[in-house]
Amino acid sequence: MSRKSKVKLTNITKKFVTNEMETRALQGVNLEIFDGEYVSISGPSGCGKSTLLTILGLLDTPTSGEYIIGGHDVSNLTVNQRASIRNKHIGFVFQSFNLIDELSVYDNIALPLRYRQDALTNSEIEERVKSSLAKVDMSHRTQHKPNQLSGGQQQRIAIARALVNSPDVLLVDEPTGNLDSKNGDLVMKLLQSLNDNGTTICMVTHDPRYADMASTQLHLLDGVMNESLHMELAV
Amino acid sequence: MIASIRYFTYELKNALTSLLKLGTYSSLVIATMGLTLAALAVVVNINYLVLSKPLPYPDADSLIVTDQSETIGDMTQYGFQILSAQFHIYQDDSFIDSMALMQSTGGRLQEVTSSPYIEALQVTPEYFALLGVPMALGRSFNDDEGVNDQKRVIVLSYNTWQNHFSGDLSILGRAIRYDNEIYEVVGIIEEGFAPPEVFGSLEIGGWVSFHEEVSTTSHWGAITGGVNGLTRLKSGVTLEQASASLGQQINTLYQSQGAAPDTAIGGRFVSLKTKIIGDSAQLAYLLLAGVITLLLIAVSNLSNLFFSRAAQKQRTMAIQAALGAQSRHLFVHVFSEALWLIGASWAIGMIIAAWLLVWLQNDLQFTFPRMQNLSLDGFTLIVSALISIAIAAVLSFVSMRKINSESLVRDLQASGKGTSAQISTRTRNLLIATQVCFATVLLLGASELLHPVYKKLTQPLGFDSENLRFIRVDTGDVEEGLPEYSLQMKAALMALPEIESAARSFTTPLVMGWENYLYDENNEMLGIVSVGMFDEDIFSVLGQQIIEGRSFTPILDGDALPQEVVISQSLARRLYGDQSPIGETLHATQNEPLSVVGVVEDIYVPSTSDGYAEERYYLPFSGARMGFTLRTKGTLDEAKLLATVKAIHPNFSVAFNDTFATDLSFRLRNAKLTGGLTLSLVVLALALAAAGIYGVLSYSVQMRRYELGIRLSLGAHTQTVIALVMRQSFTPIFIGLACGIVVALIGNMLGEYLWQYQVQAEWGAFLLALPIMIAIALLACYWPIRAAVLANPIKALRNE
Repeated sequence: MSRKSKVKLTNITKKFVTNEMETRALQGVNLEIFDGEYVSISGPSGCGKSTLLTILGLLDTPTSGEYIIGGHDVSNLTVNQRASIRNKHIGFVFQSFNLIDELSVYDNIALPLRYRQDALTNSEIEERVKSSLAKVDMSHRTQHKPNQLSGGQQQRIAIARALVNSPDVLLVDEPTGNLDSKNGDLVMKLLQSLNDNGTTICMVTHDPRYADMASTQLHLLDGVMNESLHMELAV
Repeated sequence: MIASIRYFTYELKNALTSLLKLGTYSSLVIATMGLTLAALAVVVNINYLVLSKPLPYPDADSLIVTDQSETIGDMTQYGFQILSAQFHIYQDDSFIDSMALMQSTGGRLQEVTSSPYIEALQVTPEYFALLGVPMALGRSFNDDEGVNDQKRVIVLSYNTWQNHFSGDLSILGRAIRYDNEIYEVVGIIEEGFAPPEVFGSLEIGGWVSFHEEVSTTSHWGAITGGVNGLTRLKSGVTLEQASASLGQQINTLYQSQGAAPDTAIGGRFVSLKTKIIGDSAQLAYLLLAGVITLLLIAVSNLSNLFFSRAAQKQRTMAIQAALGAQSRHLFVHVFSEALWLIGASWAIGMIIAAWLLVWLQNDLQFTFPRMQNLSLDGFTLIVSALISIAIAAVLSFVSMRKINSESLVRDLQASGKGTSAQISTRTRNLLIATQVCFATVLLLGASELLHPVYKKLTQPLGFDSENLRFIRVDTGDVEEGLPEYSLQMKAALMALPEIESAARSFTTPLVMGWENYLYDENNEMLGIVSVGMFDEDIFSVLGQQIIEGRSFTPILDGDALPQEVVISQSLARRLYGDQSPIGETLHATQNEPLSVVGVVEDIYVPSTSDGYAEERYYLPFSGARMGFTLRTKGTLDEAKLLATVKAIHPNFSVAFNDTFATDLSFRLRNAKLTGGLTLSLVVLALALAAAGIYGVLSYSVQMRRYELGIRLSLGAHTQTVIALVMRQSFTPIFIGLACGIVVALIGNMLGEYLWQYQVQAEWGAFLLALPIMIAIALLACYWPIRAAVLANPIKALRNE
């Protein structure tokens, strides 16, 4: 049975030009992520991991190459079109959680739902937020503010927020970078169980221990993807 | 749509929660904008009422009045009418469809025990129809109660009826005594009716019929600003046609009445609205220009606050964008906060404005027309609300545009929670330069306006006005022997221990009397000069120095006045240069020679114009009118004064009794209001500009703390670092100053070119304004740097 492709990058390059000096962050990267796959991208600092993740998350545009997500070619979209795709197809989990301190846990999680093109009613929003919270086992903390929670709890809320719009893929950037090992392990366990339940995950990490937890492990070095390993594991 | 409203409501709720936690920021924005919107609302309200609001009369645009001209040689002046000329126009049926004669009058309402002074208008019956005057009770004047019908009828204002007759419903048909005449009350005008202010902002308490004889030959001796005609022209007749033809006709009449040589009159019809607006339009426009500049300063101020807030919120917005928020979502997010802040500013601003209008009502009424029943107009509320919303929208949009999408991504990838976002140096410099530029324009403009006001308020009178007062005795029905009575009265007043000295005076020396022709020894016209009539003691009572010659020969017989004249120093200089005028001959009336016996010091009596009538001449007074200028030693008891007056004749009463100080303060009221309003605008603008510059620079210093800390830790002296930052900060300040001067000069040239508005370049004021601006900018610069640099450098390095 052929697996359904969620994300496909073809020959992606990214160059930064500063003070007449050109830096090639990504050089001809090809990557395809399938439904239900758990992909980890690892590599040393400065190898282009985060750049790749921002392009995957439509937070930045590649210099060249093709990007298809959920069947849409998103290589050449306007800012607002990219925002819509991001809202519908992508869930983000950041190293620094990026929760909004002024909003409650509930409102932080509901935020992506409020930006949807097809607006939801308040009861629909509530239902989805509760369901997301249940997935990360944080149903009891809806009215707390992020700064009243521990780091591990904040990351679980960030994961709930990323899941609330049922995205095609969860993009996870160094999820344990700001956590101690105990909380880090708990978060990784949560991601594993989400993947077991069908969530597609693409995670950037420099920790080989956590990278090994993914079904597909990719390595970036100087902006070049180690494709052989990718192919080998994919087969 | 519903979803959008729901999202907007959601963002409004969140914005309110955030703002409540940002007390300092919110109060700064609300204080800045609240005060600015209050000033804006007051000035817009004044401008709307004075210049734009339609007059509340039927077909008001077709109503016109006369602006008669008088030409002597090649000099023409407007604003004075002759009743007989108006009467001629009144009788015309070629151009005039309907016309009402109007004469300003006033007197004591003797029907009431307190005998209050009531301003009134003498009008013909057409007045009521032309203005559609609504009657609360009774009727207006009938057609047979017009000019030369010798009927004495009166219509009272609602306020007079309520205040002096307690709203007595049986007043109609009652004969009341007003200004020594008996009138029949025929009607009461509805409450709130505002008569057109053709003769200035007087509260008209009654309208009386023209009972005296008026003809085309009767009143040529009296040229006055207190007469006019309210007119509607026949359809198809233009203002120019009517002005040319009727102007020619009245001049022919004037010349036939033995006019002075080389003089002519003319008639120029102007719309009622133009007449009412008069000179007040200029001040209204200047205030509007001032308040718009203030608004620009406030908006620059707000821009800095909004941009800083946007920089602070950059991380939150980056998260929102990552979660799929589109531009409109981010705009609503920023706009919601702006809307709360500007909305609160608007509400507070309108409350302050409404309060200011109540507080200033009496003064504004004195300076501007149409200020009766003054309150915040719906128009003002809407305009200020629209301006507020526009400011909120524009600032939100610009703040959003300031957010750099690349740094949004950087923010998300930052592992810490701190924000690296800041307002760019270019934007900061632009904000400082803009504020300095606007504040300089306002300061320069205001200094030009304030300089004449200051000069007027500080100009010495030329005589000692302390303890001076003027009284006028109402002689009732006594008409014979007044000069003799006035001599007795003067003696009786002098006998009172509270009175130091007294002089018989036709009017107060502050008013003088009127402007009159003056001819030389050959009866050749020398011009129109201010004239007053007094007895021989007036100069000693005033303390006005006689420079040369003497005062009049003592006047003991009203029928045998000395043929003498005393002239002012300025008049003497113009007429005789360095020659002594004593013994020269002048004529106030042709062929009645007067010998110049004295030259007195000039006096400077403030009036509505900027200049002073320094050229004056003084004539001996017969005492036919019972006026007295008194220098008192203490408080003059009113009962005692009345008893003294009654002792001379039981029918005599005190008609007027007031100090020179009161009169002077009344005369300076306009200048004080202009000065007060301008000064308030300037102080507010400078405070806002200073706060703005301080805000931008303190933000800038905050951003540079680490760098400054390194410099200090490497051994830089405090003053070296302060000088470094000040030098850099002063570049935009000097650019702003230069731009301000250029903009002020261009504004001045435009004003002269478009509106013929002449500004006397006052270099003193100009040179004073610039150091003030520089000093304020210096202080606003120094303060934030000082605080940052004086602390221990390690604090800066640790960013504590």
